[in-house]
Amino acid sequence: MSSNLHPVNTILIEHLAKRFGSAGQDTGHVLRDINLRISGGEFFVLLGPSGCGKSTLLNVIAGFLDKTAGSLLLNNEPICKPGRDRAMVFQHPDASLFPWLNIRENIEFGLRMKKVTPGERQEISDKFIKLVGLAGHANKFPRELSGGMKQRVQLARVLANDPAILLMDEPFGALDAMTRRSMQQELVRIWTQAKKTVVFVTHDIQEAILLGQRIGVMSKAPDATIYKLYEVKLPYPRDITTKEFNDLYKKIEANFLQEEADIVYKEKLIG
Amino acid sequence: MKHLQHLLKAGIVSWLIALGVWQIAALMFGKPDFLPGPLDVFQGSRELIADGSWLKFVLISLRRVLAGWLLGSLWGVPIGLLIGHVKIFRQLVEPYLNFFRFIPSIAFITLFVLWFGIGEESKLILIMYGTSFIVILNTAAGVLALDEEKVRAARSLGASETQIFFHVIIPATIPYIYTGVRLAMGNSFMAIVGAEMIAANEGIGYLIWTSRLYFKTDWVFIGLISLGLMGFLTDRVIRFISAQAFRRYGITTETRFGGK
Ligand SMILES: Nc1ncnc2c1ncn2[C@@H]1O[C@H](COP(=O)(O)OP(=O)(O)O)[C@@H](O)[C@H]1O
Ligand SMILES: [Mg+2]
Repeated sequence: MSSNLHPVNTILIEHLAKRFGSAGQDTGHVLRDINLRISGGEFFVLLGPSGCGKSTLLNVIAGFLDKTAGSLLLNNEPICKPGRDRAMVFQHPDASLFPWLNIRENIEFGLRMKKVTPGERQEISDKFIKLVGLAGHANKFPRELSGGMKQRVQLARVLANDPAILLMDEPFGALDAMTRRSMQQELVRIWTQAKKTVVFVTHDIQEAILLGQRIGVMSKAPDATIYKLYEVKLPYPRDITTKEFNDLYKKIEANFLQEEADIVYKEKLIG
Repeated sequence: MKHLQHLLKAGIVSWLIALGVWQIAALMFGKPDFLPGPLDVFQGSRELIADGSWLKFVLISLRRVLAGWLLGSLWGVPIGLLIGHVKIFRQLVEPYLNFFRFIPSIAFITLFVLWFGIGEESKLILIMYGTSFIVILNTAAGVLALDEEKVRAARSLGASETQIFFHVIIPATIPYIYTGVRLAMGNSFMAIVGAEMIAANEGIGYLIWTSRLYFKTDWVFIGLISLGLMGFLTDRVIRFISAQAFRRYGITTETRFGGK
């Protein structure tokens, strides 16, 4: 898979910190001292418990939130606002899809904003409707689709706009186990075809190992940071029943438990 | 059994019961000047319909309501969008809204007659006041209820701020605007009846007011029934047209009690 990597579209994060509220208030940092380099074409997974600051970091990379300190570069250019080059697949499709547009119109949204001609739009949307397995549903509206299908629409909507980087915020978290498994497999297939950089957020260790070339493990907010990086050398598509998979799972889980224990220990010392 | 279900659903059963109870109550009182029954009212209506005054009054009231409602909606929607979308404007206007929302349009009748005369203008402006108010509030609430994620999605798909306004904010607000204009129609009827009772020589409100003076209680009932029917029919028309034109925005004819 290393043939997927390009020097272009590299995200470089150095000493990044994020605090909510204005400078005057001392609300504490959610993120502190994040350092990360994500190469072009890489599938990177951000793993951490709920509320640890994963979405916050992803939203800073997307340009939806301003960082408080540090540097954030894409192709050596600072990121300061949202752009076509970074697309987000949101956790809740009902909040992010446009319910007044049918599936095809949702997928063509970015192209329409760019004033691509209707003929060309149709050609592109056809391609991505097929790629994500929504053929035959183009004229339906989001409310007529299941949760898994809505996430396919989100995926097609961003892919049709041809971004360099895909940001995905727990996109399969609300799906049932069976649907989630097939969506994970398809995402890997699409990623190998589309050759995009993916930053994928999850709190599920198994999902992280199933998908990522590298896994960054985040500690809890406040002052969350990426304190450990794992490289996953297993070939795609990955098999959760192999010994290697299981060994890595145990290693990461032990890591989490250790981190929990450390926090409890620290709290005891303070309190 | 299935037959009964159909009649119930169409509201026929409810109305038959109402008519029955009303007729019995009228017979028990035995004073048509005080409480005329459905048959008395039917008799009275033939007179009123025959000389053409009923249709004239209905059309006059309806024209006032529709004109005021249309104009009020036309300028209420853009103002509501502006209030919802532009924070400074919202902060500037919110104190007024929170003050005037407690003053019903009927309370302005005397003032508007003084300012705009006894003619059509004062009535039109009165209905516009009531309509635009409720449309502004609902539209602004719709903009504020918009999921931030939709705007973020549009932005990272390359939409400019102007494109976001026209392609995300307005379409997402349409169901709220729809609720606003439907509620406003109800308020318009309230306002016009008040205005016609106090300052008019024509219209259904005028009919109700003067009939009482002449002890034509059956005509008062005709006025009330006419209002109910006019409101019911205009609401049906709005619902039907909206469901055709705005189906993709989630608007259907299946709505109850004027809610969403
Ligand atoms: N807009 C905000 N204002 C203040 N605090 C926030 C805001 N968004 C998130 N937080 C806080 O930041 C922390 C991390 O949140 P989030 O990034 O959503 O976590 P995750 O996605 O890992 O579950 C949480 O403690 C949350 O309360
Ligand atoms: Mg989150």
